[in-house]
Parts: sequence; structure tokens; C-alpha cells
Amino acid sequence: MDLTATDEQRALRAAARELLAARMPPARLAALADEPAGWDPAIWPELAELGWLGVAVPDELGGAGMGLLEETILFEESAAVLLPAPFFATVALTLPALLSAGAGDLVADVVSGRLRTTFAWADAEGDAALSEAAQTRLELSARGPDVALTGSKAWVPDADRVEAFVVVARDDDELALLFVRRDDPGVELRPLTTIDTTRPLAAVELREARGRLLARGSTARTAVRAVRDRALTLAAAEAVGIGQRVLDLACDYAKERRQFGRAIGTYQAVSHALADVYVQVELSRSLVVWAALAVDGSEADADVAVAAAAAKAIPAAVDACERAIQVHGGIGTTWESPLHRYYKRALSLAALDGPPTRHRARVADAVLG
Amino acid sequence: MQLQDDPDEGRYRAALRRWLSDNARHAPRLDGEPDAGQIEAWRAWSRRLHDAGYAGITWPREHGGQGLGPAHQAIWLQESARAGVPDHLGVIGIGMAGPTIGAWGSEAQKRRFLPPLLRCEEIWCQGFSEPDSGSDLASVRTRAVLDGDAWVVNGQKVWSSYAHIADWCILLVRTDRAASKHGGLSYLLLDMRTPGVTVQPLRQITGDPEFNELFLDGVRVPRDAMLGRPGDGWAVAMTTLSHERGTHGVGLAARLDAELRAAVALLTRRDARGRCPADDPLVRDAIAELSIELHALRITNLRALSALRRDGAPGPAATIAKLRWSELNQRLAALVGDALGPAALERGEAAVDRGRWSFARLRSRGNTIEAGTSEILRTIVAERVLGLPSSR
Repeated sequence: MDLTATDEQRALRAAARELLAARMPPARLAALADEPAGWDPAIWPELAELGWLGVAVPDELGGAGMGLLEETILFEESAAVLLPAPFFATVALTLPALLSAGAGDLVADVVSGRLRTTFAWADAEGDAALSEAAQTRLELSARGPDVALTGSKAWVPDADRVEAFVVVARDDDELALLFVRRDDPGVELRPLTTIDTTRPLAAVELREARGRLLARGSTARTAVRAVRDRALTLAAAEAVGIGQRVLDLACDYAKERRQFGRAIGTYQAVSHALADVYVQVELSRSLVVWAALAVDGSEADADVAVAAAAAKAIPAAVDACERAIQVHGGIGTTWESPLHRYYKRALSLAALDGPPTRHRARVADAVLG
Repeated sequence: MQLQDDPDEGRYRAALRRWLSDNARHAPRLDGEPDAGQIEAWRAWSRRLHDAGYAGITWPREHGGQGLGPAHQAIWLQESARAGVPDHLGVIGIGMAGPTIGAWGSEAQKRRFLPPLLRCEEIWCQGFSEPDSGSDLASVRTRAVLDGDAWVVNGQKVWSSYAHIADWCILLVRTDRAASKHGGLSYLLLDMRTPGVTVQPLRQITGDPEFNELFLDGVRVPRDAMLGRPGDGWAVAMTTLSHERGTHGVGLAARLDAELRAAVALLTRRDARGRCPADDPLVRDAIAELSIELHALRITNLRALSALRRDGAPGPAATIAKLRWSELNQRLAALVGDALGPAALERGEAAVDRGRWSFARLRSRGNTIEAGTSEILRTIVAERVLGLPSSR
């Protein structure tokens, strides 16, 4: 048993911090987040160059051959600066499906930075949770080697920042995964106005859109489960990054801000609230480590570990943001403060897979039968 | 990073499991406060642990220990909890007095005190807290004045577990009233049979006499029965209180995990009409939440243990262990109690699980107070981990 970071993991974290501090200082993020485009695509080749897009991809497919644990480090650090880029959409949501479906050519394109992708799982009607992706009612409209789709997908993250989608659909009674290019004439995007501008959502309308069938039946179900396990673990890692960042901001403020002649951090009503946030962030961090190790090792308890990480870390991040806003007082409720952007990302993570009761129900099934 | 045992740890765990399956039947069954008969059985069990090499696992070999690392200690804590057997009776001795004597004692003191402590021939208790010195430990007022070759001690101590069966006591006293609050303290090793020592049981919320009050009236302690020099008492006491940081939490979490499994067994037991408390979706949700919190605590403790092994210090995450364990222990007791209804009020042999849950509901209230109140622990996190300014 050893849960200290390896030299390689520490180097990865240090390099990530260095790059993100240089490319995404708070003022740069604030400026980008308020622009219509919302991000600078120039960051993408850099991420490819650094190997971020293929950290957990096997060597023979052009990746670094590391694991989910290493990916959690990158997502924690990128969430700490709210990196506006389709990093989660491509690496957390889509890459596991491409890998699981054996689409080596597309994986290689992703890893090299030539292809940005997102995952389109939710129907406009029905349960939009990522875990319920297999419940989709979107049917193939044409079959054969070049399949077609007509219908719509809702709440697709970073849809206007990518070149292609992996769409969850049905082929008769079987689950199917399709690869659809955004520039296909049958694809139309309808961007949604949402609160988290660092990770926008869009509806995708499909009219006889042509696609490539990536997986069908049990292969597709396995791929969708792989997406769920990895994306929820990485969402929990982002939650830890957010929780830690807003805790740091709140502690800095509590040391500086003076009222009644004393720093507000001397008041235990303030300091104990922050101590509680620290505890929750550390507990969440532990569950992310557990989930990543369990998924990487294909452990029997991986399902429980992932559900535990999502159930704990994501609400903890929302709570951390709310407490940080409270500690900041009035300034914490303004657009000028960086806190609202972290809060919105935390809420965005909380919307990814439904309320924590859903994940706790999976844990309860394992514990109670 | 890996959660699995390395080969050496795996062998140790396998051997321990075999030993426990052969020997667990000799362990005393402790559902509440042990009576005199159970104490005797516990002594015998502790000697058995010692003879098998499971007492003083991390102590140096020259002090009678096994000279192993904290990972082995953690494996003992996990496996003994899993087997449902108690640890060594001399918890104050092994966890507090012994390591302090090891760090501060003379060679003669180490030779005199450490081996009988591990063999459970001598039981230790702790004389730190006083009626007016709880969280503010450095304010102790029990006085020790040098008179020839002895310190003459007068005062009162409280919250002294095992004092009624103890042979020795680690005693924090004020030897210099002119010195600073912390600088006037000294650390004595008190023979509990010395004239002037009176032990009175303190009846707890559970009805059991778990702790004791200690009255010290003109007690003469030999001048050399001191750890460190006069005035070193605070530093020596910090050694006592910081020991086992990094592994202690592993044991707490493992015991709580066993409690949770017992609660699950109880709440899924179907009655004659085929119903059980865990049919209620809110009970299921609460158990899932507790289970998640306990996993989070378990992994956090293992992170602290890993840091301890690599860096020699358990790191900031270790401060979480007791704070979090105490709250979860209370939540589990409350959850089971609420689910059981009036049956949760019963005590004694005929009660559900022999009264384990009504006892836990009451006893667990002390968890957020003893060994550092949750308020003090949050202040420690705020000031030492987060670097917030002192509230005092």
C-alpha cells in the first residue's frame, strides 16, 4: 500500500500548474469567459504537444500509456483555472468511447490534436443523466456501413468547440454509438444560453446526418459504461480542483479582510466553516484517488468507488463555492469576483449525472443488496 | 500509488489472519464497559497478543517491540477490527506512556517500564485533564513541590480511563508557578499505590463508570521519576499526544467499518412479516452516505499513513481522522437508533444486539469531546493547515 504520488505524477502536476498559470491567469480567464467565442483554440495544439490528450491512451495508439489517476491530476489542475477548452468533452467524455469501441484511427487523431470531439448522450425528453445514456430513444434512420440519424440531442457540452460528436442512439433494440462530423450537412447546432460559459451547452439537430457506426450492442454498452466511469471520476477530480481553489481564495480573503479591527479569519464562525471545507475537499480527494485506482485496476468495487467519488466530491465543490461566497461577503456575489465562475462550473458538474441520491442508490445496492 | 499490500505486507496480513482465526475465541467479548471478570479475560488476551508479537508492533526491538513500520501496525488495526477482537488492554501504555518513555526516558526507565507494559503486567493511566483544565490543558493546577528526594503532589485529575485498574500514571503537574503557563509544567511517572492517591469512578451518561477522578493528597513521587527535566512537561506531553498520529485513525475507521457492517446486518434482518428497516429508501440513502463517508475517511487515513512512511510525518490530512470519525460514529448510532424505534431504548443482555446500539447512541456523544473537542480540532485545521490568524 502506498498512496503517495510517484515522481512522475508530481512532475505531471508541476508541469500542468506551470502551463496553466502562464496561459490562464485569472484576468485572461475572465476576459475569455465574457467573450462570445469563450475560448482560444491556440491552447489545443499545446495540450497535444504536452501529451495531455493521450495521457491514459496506450503507447501503441500514440498515447503516454499512463492511467486514469494521472488524468485526474490534469483535470483537477485545469478545473482550478477553469480552463475554457473542450478538454473534458474530448478526453473525459469521448475518448473512453473511442478506445472502448476500438476506433484506433480516431483515437490517434484525438491524441495528436487533429480532432476535438464531444459526447451527445441526452435526449431532449427523458432522463438527461450521463449514467442513463443507454436509455436514449434516438433511432437510426438509415442502416448499412454509412448510417444516418434524424432527431435531436440535448445539452451537448462544448458542441461548438469540436469537430465531431459521438452520438448515443438505438438500432432497433440495440444500443449504438455513432461518429458524426460537425460539418456534415445534416448537422445543425443550436447553442444554449447557460450560466457556465467556460463549458457551454448546445442542442444538436440531426437531419439525415451521416455517421460511422462505432459500436453496437454489448460493445456499445461497454463503451457507454467506460464513459460513465471515467467521466464521473474526472468530474469528481474537477470538483476537487474547484473546491481547493475556492478554499484558497476564501482563506486569502479571510486573512486580509478586516472588520471590527480584526482579520475576519480570527472569528471562529469563519475559520471553522473554512476548516470544514478543507475536510470535505480532502475527503473528496481521497475518493477520487480510490475511484481512479479501482477503474485502472478493473477492481470489483470500481462501480462503488466511482459512485462514491461522484456522490461526495461534486456536492462538496458546490458547498465549497457557496461557503467561499459567504466568507467573501457582498463582493463574493459580484461579477467582478472570480467565485461565480467556479460556482457555475460546480453546478455544471452537478448537472452532469443527476443528484447525488442517484449515486448513493448504487452504493446502497452494493452495501445492502 | 497502490492500495494493495506489497508482498511483505501481504505475508504479514495472511499470517495475522491465520493467527486471528485460531485465537479469536480467546478474546473477551466487550459490548460496553468491561466488569472485573472481563478485565481479567482481557489481560490474558493481551498477554497472548504480546507472546504472538502483536503488542508494540512499531516499537524498537530493544524495548521489547517488533521493530516494524506503521503499515504493519495499520494491518493489525484493520484485521483485529475485522475479526471483532479487542486490542491490547494497555492502550494508554502502548499508545501514550510507552512511546513517551521511549522518547524521553533514561535507559533505566526504559528497561524498567517498557517490557512489563507490553506484557500487560502493568497498566497505565493518564493524569492530564483537570476539572478546570479541559481544552486548555496548559492551565493545569495540580502542584508538585520538591521536598528532599521527592516531589510532593497535591491536586485533582479527571477523565482518567483505566485509573481504577492502573499501576502507573503519566502525570502532568505544575512545578514552577513563577514560570510561564507552558514553562512551569513537568511530567511525572506516578506509582498508583503511593499513599495519598484516591481513585473515584465517574459515572457516565451510559450509566457505566468508564472514567475516573484522581485525587492527589500529599503524594510523594521520587525525584527521579520524571520524564525530561523540570519545566519540560509541555514538550513531553506533546510527545504523548502526538504519538500514533497517522496510524490511530486507521484503527478508528476499521472499527467503525465493523460497526457499519453490524448495522447493515441488523437493518436488513426481515421480521415475521418480511419487512426490514432498510426497505425505507431514506434509510438506504443514509447508509449509502455513511458508507461513502467511511470509505473517504479510510482512504484519507491511508494517505496519511503513506505520507508518514515516506516523509516521517503524516501530513495535514491526518488532522481529519479523529474529527471525522467522531462525527460518523455519532451518525451511525443515531441512524440505527432512529430506525429501531423503541427497541433502541433497551439495554442489557435481552436487548437488540445485547444493547450495543443504545450504548453507542449515548457513548458516542463523548466522541466529539474527548481527545480534542471538534471545536479545538477545527481551530487546529484553521490555524496550522490553512494558516488563518489565531483566534486567541
